[in-house]
Amino acid sequence: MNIYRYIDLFVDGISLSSIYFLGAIGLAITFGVMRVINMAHGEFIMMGAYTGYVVQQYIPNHTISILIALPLAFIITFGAGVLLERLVIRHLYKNPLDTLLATFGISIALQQLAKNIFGTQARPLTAPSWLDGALSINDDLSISYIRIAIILMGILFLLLLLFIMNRTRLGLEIRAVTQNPIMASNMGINPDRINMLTFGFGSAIAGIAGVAIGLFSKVTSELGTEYIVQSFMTVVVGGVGNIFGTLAGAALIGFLQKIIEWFNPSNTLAAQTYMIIFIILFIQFRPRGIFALKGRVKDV
Amino acid sequence: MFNSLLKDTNHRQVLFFCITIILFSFIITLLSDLFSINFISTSFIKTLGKTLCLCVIALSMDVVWGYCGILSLGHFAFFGLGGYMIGMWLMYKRTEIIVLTASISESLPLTPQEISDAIGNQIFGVVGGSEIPLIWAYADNFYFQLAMVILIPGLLAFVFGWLAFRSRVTGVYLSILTQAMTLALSLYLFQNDSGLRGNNGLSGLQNIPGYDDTSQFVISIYFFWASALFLILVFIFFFYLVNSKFGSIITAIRDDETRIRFLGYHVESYKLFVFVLTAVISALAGALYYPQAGIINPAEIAPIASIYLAVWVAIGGRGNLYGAIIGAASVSLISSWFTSGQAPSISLIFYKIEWVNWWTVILGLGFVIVTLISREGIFGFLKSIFIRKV
Repeated sequence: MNIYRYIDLFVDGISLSSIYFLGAIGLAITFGVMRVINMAHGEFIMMGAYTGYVVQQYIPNHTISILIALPLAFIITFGAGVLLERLVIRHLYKNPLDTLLATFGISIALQQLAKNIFGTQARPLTAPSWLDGALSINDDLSISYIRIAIILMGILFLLLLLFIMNRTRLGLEIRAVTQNPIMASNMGINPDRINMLTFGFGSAIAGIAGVAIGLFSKVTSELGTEYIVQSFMTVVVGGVGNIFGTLAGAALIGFLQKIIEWFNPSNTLAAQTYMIIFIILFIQFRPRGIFALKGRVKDV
Repeated sequence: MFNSLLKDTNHRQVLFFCITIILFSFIITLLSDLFSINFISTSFIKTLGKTLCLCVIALSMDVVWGYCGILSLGHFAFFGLGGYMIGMWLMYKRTEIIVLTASISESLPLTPQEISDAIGNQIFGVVGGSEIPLIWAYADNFYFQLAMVILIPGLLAFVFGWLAFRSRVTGVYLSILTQAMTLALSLYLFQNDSGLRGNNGLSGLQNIPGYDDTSQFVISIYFFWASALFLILVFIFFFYLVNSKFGSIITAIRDDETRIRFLGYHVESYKLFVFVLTAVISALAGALYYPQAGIINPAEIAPIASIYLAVWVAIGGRGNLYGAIIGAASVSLISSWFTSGQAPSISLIFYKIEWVNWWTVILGLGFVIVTLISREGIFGFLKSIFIRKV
């Protein structure tokens, strides 16, 4: 046993955490900040991944196509998110559990649409060739470039989101509206417009994450369902309404799963099972997550 | 005395419901018997029987969600567990019979060890094992497995509910937690070494040991009647439960939990009781459902199944027992009609609409529209029309 094995485990943990973080970060906004249970979140991830696939069909150069796909996925899923908010979610703000049902309907409809358009077989979203291969340090430790790219992408997202929420006018208005919509509107903010933009923004982030996730997993119409439950757990474990909470939740879940897998490498299903059981127990002790909101928060 | 019973509208409603279901069962049986057997196919009777079981779990869901306000997204876990428990007996017993019949031709009678090895090979060969796992130790005992149908899901619901309600996990958090529970269970069962045949699941459950000479048609009629009677029993039980003082308390918990707690009721115990009770009834429904379905595998208890269940209840009308039944029966029957390819496809000039591909899209949009238009679902909608007429 040498130190490199531990480093390898550590990098594994970070990259899995980054994947969970990418999947959950859009939810951290729509669910964490707006308290909307968007079951169609996974389908926005799927939409982003398919956008990447379609762009690659027209632009053979993988580097350029990814660079085009990222903003395109942002625009498409932003539009889809705004549309969803305007048509459906706007009417359901008073009943969070009703949004669950309505968005579940959207989710299965979008999944089936994707199946009708792209078929059931997995579509390739190929990473640029400079992401192939691995950074090998020695025999025990080699880190594939794609893992590094995912980790960097996770960090980039975190910084971007923190910047927008804390340093821009939009972020200020979002925080104001979620804390007290009536007071915010007294200050000249239009809560209706902010809700629309926030939801669109959260969806758009899911779309970009979808391009990233599509690079290393198969792009199918069921891509979203694989991430939806884990994403919700990540947000809940971390603590609703807090970006660092989502980061902590993703880190906890990702590392935990890798450590359990490390003890029993042949069985990833068991690792996931134990991880979920751990989360269920964890919620018993911290029902509001790692970073609980202080003060008397009314139950959702 | 009977007359005075009937004066109460509650009793009249229950009686009306029972008569409707029994009449319906009689009509189906007569139609399948009087005319040739093919007039109503065996598979259609099975579909109807399965639908009745789904109505039972929808009733459970309605009580736990519509009346008590706990949106559980994990009740299909209990349903599936019930199916697994009865499936173990069905599969073990049937394999035992096959092994014993095959051994008749041999000169020496098989030792118990040989029999158990042969059964193990038959059942677990598909997951690369031959040993019978410990959890199958009493699988040859019908009454033991029947007890397990109640005990295992009941225990799971009790432990989970006790932990969750004790730390006052409510609302959205509870929904996500129950969803995590059913995901964990299905992932666990997907493993080959879970002892329940991994993703192959249990199969051949439609063959009831001891009824080898009875045709599937007759068996399906038996199960259809059993499901109908079970639905009636559960309906009567839940009907009087929700119309009792207990029912008032759980409805009040749904509407304002904190106030009920301050009035001195032990809210957690009430919730736990409702959660476990509905879990056990779901498990029993599952034990009736899977012998008709013939196969159970871990995909059946994936989180999406339980979400569908919530949607059936929402579409039918939550907080109303008839609504749950209407929702479950209509959505699941219509869905199976459209997805089985029986619905004629519509040819447009440039595109041919295949219902198999488009049904889910329409269903999904239907969920959205029902949620937006009517909080009380189809039943609420019907009621509003009816009351306007009066």
